[in-house]
Amino acid sequence: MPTSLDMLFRMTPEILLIVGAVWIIVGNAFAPQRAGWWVMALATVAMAGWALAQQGMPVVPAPSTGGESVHVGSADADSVVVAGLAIHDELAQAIRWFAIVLAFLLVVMASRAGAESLFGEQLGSILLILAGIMIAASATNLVLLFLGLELVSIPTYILLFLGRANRQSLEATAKYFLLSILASAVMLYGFSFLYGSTGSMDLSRISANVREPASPLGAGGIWTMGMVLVLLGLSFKLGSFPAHFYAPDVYEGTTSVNAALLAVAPKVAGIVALVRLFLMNSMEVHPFLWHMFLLLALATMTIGNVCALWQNNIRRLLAYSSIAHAGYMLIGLAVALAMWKTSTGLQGASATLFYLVVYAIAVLGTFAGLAYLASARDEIQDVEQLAGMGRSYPVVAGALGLLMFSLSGIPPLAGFWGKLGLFASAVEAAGVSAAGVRSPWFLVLVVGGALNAAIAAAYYLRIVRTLFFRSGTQQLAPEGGSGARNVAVFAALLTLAVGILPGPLLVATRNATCGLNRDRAPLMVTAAPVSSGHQDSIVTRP
Amino acid sequence: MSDTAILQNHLFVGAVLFALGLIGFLVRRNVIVMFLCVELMLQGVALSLVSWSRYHGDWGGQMLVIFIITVAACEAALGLALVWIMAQRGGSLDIAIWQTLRERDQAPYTDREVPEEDRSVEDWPQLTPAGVEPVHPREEDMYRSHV
Repeated sequence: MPTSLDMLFRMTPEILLIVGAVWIIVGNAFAPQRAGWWVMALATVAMAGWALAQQGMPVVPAPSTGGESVHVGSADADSVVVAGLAIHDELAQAIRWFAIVLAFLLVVMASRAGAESLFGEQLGSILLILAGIMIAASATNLVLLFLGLELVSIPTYILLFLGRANRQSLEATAKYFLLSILASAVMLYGFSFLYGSTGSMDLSRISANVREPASPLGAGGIWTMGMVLVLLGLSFKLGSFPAHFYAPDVYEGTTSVNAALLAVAPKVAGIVALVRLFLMNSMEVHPFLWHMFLLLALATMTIGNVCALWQNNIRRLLAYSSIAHAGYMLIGLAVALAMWKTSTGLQGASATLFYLVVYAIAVLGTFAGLAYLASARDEIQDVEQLAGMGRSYPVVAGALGLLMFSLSGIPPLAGFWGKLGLFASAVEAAGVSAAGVRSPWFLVLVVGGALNAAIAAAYYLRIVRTLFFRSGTQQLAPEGGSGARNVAVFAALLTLAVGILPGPLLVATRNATCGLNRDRAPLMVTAAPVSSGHQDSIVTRP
Repeated sequence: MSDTAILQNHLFVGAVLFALGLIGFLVRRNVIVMFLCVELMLQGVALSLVSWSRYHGDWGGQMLVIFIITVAACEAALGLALVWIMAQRGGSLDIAIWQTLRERDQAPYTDREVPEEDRSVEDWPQLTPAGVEPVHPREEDMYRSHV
């Protein structure tokens, strides 16, 4: 029975997060204190997680049955629920769960961030950003996708404002703000072309209608132009090649907590938006699109790694490394686009998701470690400042070292499985010829990726060497709070655990992408007459 | 005029607005003008969306336009706060004064070279003896309206 109450029920986690965020922001203005609002934020995240658990979700695959998954809650296993403009399929549920985990880690990490009178804004913005990710992950309509992405961007501007009250912080905010709204405008112009060429805001129709042009102005060309503009706008969020240049400046100027958020939240939202726009419901192989992704992946990886090699400033180094990781993720998307509707394509998409999760946890832990080591007045800037940390702060230094190994892809850790999955899917794509496309270019991609991984190891290992094998010249006073330290250690342990037992996460990411391959007729309400008024529909497909 | 011709005209105006905004963003250095140029781009987008929406007979595009305007208002609120702080701290609306964050070896951008002074000519100011009023030039008395 489709009622709007059902729709509200489906969106409860997002609503809870947003209400909690507003409550914290407003409340902190009247009662500025740290501990109370911090507990309140944690409680909000926990409540959102509980509400999400009510909807059922294959979180943990049972070890006994291998590929099968255990469902928490009462929902049907393969049900795809469409609530208004949102769709809650396997991908959306997986990303929503991941957003809850990220929200928890970020709130814990930010326990000492910022001034006390502005602490509420700090926490509230983090919660809003994560709600934005959840909305973007479940959007099946351009309008909702746009709103989700903006809900990720706008609180980010506020967070950057709230950083340290110095010139660098302000400059970072200005650079991020101006370029971000420019990227949004470009992406919206792309949306207008997608809408124009297909005559629908519905994502499933945007791909389906390409074959039968709805406009007289050459629908194919307009559609392609829309896709290129959208990719350009989203590459800002991803921090990938054509719009990557802001990242080092912004990461250098802002605090570690904000840098962690910037390295994680827009990337998750951007990858999900790319998957939704380019992969979901794509009816045929568009050779142009995967060529573009392939070139962007190569360029992004190379620029990121080569520039990171020369950096002495650890924040710029991590920014370039995050650019390089965006390039690795694009490998998987290129494979998925070229080999769609085959098992190779599915493998590419799930490898991208796996890499996204592993990267996000690792980079979050790294910035948490830096946040812990920073003094109350200054962030850690130079790699040299980390010298001797292995002796004075062995726990955090050990965690940082482990995360560096994982980011560079050394075997017993999670990052290795991520890179292995991506390169394996590309090798497979180079071997088979799907849809009549021979693709020797994927071999170039694999070789380029492997070379890049070797380059990357050089600068990650330089950090490890500085941590453990150099004697420190200056004393640091770690004042980042125990929350940041705990997140760093937790992320390191998680990376180690996933590295030793990658099975559950691999299965979970594969489950998340399997819904994409399903042949799906264009959904529901778009053809409904406008005069019938507001309509909420819940479509459940077996 | 046929539907297609109207659509083409509207799209053309939208594209011109978008391009003007983009060019303005790239060439202007005043923070407020840069922000307004992005708003101009958004107006171009809104115009194309509305014209496509009219052409297709579908409400989706106009719905998106309303949300775009709302989001642009949020961004304007934040943007003006940012501009205010920047003007207060930097003393200027010029975006080029904000270049502390850059690569280590990169030279700062300077738009006007200050000419080298000629150091060979020693031109020290002549001090008058204390208590003696200096001789005023005649022209200064003629052209000075007040003081």
